[in-house]
Amino acid sequence: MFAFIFRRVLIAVPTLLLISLMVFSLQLLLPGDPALALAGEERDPAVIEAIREQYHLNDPMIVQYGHWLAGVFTGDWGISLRNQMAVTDLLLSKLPVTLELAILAMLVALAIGVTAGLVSAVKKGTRWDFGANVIALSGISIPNFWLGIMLILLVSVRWGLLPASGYTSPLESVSRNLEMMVMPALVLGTAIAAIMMRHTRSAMIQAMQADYVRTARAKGLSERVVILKHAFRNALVPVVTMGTLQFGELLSGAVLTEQVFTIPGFGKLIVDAVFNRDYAVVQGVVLFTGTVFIVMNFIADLLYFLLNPRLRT
Amino acid sequence: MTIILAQHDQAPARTKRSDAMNDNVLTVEGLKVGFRTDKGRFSILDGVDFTLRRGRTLCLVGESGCGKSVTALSIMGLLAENAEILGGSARLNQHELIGLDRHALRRLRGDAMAMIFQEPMTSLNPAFTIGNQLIEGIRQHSDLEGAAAREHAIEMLKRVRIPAAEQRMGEYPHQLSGGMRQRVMIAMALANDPGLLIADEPTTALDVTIQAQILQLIRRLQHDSGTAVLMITHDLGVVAEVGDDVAVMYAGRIVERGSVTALFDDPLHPYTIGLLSSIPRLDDTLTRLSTIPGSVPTPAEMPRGCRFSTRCPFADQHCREEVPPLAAVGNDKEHVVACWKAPIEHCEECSESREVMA
Repeated sequence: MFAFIFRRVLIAVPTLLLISLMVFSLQLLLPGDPALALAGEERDPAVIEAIREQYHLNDPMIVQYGHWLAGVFTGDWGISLRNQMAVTDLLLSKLPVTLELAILAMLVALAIGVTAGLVSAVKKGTRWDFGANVIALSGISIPNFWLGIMLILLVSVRWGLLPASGYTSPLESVSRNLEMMVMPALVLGTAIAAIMMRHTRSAMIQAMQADYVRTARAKGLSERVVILKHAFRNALVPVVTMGTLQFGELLSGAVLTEQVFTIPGFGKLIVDAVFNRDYAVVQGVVLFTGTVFIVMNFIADLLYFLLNPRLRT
Repeated sequence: MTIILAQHDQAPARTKRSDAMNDNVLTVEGLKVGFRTDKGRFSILDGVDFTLRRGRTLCLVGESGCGKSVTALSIMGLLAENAEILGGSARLNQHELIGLDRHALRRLRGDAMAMIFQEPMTSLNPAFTIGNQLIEGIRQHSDLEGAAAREHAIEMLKRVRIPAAEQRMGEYPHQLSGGMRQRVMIAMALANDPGLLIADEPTTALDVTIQAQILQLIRRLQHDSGTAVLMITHDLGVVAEVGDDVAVMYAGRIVERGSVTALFDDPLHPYTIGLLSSIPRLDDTLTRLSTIPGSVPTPAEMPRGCRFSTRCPFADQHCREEVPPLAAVGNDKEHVVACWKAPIEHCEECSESREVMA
């Protein structure tokens, strides 16, 4: 068990370093000169040169990487070139928004996806199965931003039921917060629900054919116990693993969905940062979400391990 | 503890096991089962008949695909979804099982009748402990709860000779060997003292040394409890070891049935004769091991008459056209055979082919 965790952590370290290198190299690919952007209307070469000096923009790349990496480890992720805020503060201020959206979306995804997957596996080959598959296929095929726009048009504009966009902190008003989160959570959640449904379905179909399910039936257990205890407990492993990875993806920020609903999370932060050539913020967001993704991968591995008695004992 | 056990042992026994009036635990008559596939419907079982008495072991013998397991699963009501029972009857203590609604059937499964399977490695749920899976079955069919159910589960593990029973309760199936897992399966099956135990090739997947242990265990437990055992096997060695009676199946029909001694001493059906002569003998290193030529016809090309006629050296036009009934040909009325030519020793036109067989 501990050997397993140790091994996983050991693998995570070079992966994280690789991410940091890639994140740092990202700025080479971005067009435009940050010093020029920062100078704004000022075109005096001396001022621009001073800005270059101040932000180490004249140093060789490897030195710049060293500076940057040292900063990352000491909690100095740089200053946003645009609004002079520390990148770490900026990230921390957006984290609760993205976290809340991710959790709500995941709840939607699990409720719809796992239930639909269970039903379609148990009722394999029937209209229920067919219906669930059609919905899942639609869920995967329909782009998030389109579904978002359609929801805004119908629910907000035509029926006036929910606010079209924006964000209110739950600390201010929980009900107002939820009103604004319902649609984006639904948009993100249904897309993942489709994936979860497919995974639950195939895992359940496999489990239902297992010998131990026949044994459970031979014991005279009710079909409910056979399905929900014996089969589902074994189907749970791939479902949980997949769910954790999807949650990691959600935490990386939903660029299009946050844009459509103007939710100030990581997705919107990175888009704004890219448009403003705000390197430090772009790097910060990518590094942070990359790390989160690796952590979620690690958790997925850990859950896989914990749910599997054959590995655990 | 002993009090609980005693109650549990005696109370259901009177109701579950057959009355003194009638000793037949299981009566199967004319059982017909078919499969629906993309290519159409196929008959798998075509009129299977046998009876099984209390405390006795009936072996259902035949090669793969002859319908042994389908017979067992039909009785248990565990047939695959694409299979359907087309006719016939299976009565457990005079209660008809065929056509019984699934709730009533569920109450009988694991209680009045239980089953163990061929693959001990996959028949236990890998995600739950041995104790959990044992107690679950006990609670389903008895009033035992909590500590009492647990005690009974441990008692069952002890009864199937599992060492350190209490410790095993908390272990997972993967921590046990194949033989131990099959013991757990037996403990689970017998936990509610069933009148009928169906064992579907329970030793096929096990090491030879373990096979004998498991067979002896089933025999001993049966002796203690009076449970009737329907033993499904393709291994005539198993039949000789545990069987009282034997029914030989071929392509969905019983071709010969009788006591084990009668059948081994005087096999009547050409297929049975072929099966018996294909057993390797240690004391005979000179003659080539005999095999039955040809293979079982597919459901699509099943002959109208005797289904063995395509491989039988004695078969003639009559055999191919008319289905032979199961009937006694000698003094032993219990020893029946479905063959127009039986007994072959008395069949005059068979003399040439007899040379071939010998």
